[in-house]
Amino acid sequence: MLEVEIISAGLFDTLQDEGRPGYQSQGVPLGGAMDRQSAALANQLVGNPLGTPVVESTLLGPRLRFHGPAQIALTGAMARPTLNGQLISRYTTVNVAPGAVLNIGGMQQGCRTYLAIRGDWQVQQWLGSCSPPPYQSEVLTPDSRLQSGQRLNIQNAPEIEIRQIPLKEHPVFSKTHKISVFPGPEWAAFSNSARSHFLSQPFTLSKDSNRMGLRLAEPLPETEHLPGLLSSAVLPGTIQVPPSGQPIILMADAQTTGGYPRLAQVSTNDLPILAQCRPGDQVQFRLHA
Amino acid sequence: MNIQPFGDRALLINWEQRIDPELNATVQAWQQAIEQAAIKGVAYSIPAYCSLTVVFNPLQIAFDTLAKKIQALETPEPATKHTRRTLEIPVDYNGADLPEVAQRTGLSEAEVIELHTNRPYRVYLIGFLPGFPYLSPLPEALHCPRKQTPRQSVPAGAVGLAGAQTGIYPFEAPGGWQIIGQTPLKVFDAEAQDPFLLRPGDTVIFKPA
Repeated sequence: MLEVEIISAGLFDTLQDEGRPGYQSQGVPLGGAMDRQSAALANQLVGNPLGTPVVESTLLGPRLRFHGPAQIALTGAMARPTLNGQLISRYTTVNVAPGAVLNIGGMQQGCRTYLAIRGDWQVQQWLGSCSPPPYQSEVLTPDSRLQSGQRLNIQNAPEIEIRQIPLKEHPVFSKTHKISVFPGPEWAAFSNSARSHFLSQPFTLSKDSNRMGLRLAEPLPETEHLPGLLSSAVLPGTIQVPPSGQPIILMADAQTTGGYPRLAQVSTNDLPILAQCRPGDQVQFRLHA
Repeated sequence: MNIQPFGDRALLINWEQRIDPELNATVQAWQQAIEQAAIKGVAYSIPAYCSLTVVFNPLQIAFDTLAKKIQALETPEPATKHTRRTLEIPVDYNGADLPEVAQRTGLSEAEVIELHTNRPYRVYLIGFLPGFPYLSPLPEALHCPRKQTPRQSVPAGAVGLAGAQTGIYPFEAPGGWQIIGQTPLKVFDAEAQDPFLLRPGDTVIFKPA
């Protein structure tokens, strides 16, 4: 059994997988990795089945010690990870010697890194997932919000050959993100000027954004008198507009129903881009072709 | 029923937009029918007051194909009073907002309790929090707005009012509902195989504890 010790936790490190599809009629958020593409790539690079837990870190990653040999991979945000002080490559399988210390560090570009470790993770699940729900996570998934001093247990698997993703396929991060959207169920309820503003003006990602939703700073015009909505489903990627006019993009841990008009729905392919947006970044929406 | 796309991996079925027990029973019957049809590519669905959202994997089924398959299903029979579950929920009416509700509604506290108890409420949907039931119809005399400032923490089992609805907090969470009482029943049991006491379509009757 491989033991991985969290020497010091980062800003917000959680274990994530593909969440809890199927429990949304009971009000359970979907959960799972924010940037599902990077999480899946990390697992592929270490030969883990899709849906194996990964460590999702936000803006500043943790420092970990491996108490045995391991194979790991790091994807997602641009960081300068080191192993025993030596810079290591992202987007490749990395062999780790027993006792080695991995420092993920701060992220220069992008917002979230994903660390995959080869093997079978022994972590407590709730409703088939280790993803910490927004409430009661300390009871439901006690292992999943990483704390300094915590140890993760992973059942070793036979070593694999090194895998690597070519540099030209690594994600490129910018400060302005172009996001494709589909008209949402209440698209027609918004005025022409609100809709054209939405598709022509850039929006700034506000500081109070998290795994439940990304808040945009600039309000849309003419949203004060929108008709109320009888609570109906919302999904990761739903852009809802509360009376303040400031759009909220719902993300992985969002609630399952809402009463604000749903202006647009983000193209699934672009959710990983949003997951890597940092507060202060600009988002520009366009209608999906 | 009106079927429309909801982004690139969901389908939204809307019925007439109003709170109505028969409409809501229709929504729940369609959810069950679609679930039972086990259409390949359907991931999960979310029923609400008068809408049903079906999430699918576009690599396994296209929107148009799914819409046709749903339209081809036999119109399901909504559950009747006799096939639905009825649960009695004991409530200790000692909630912190009972005085405020009495004041806002112009009723005495005893009248608030009297009006809230011993009548059937339908679980229209579960949302807001895992296991949180939206219960209606609330007698019109009890309608009152959410609290001006939501509470940082509402305890598990708290029974509250908001607008035309009443509900029960499944666990401790922040919230803006007017809290009138407390049930000792576990609406949410983290340890249980099935953690949720209530499902959409159930009938709930509050009894003074």
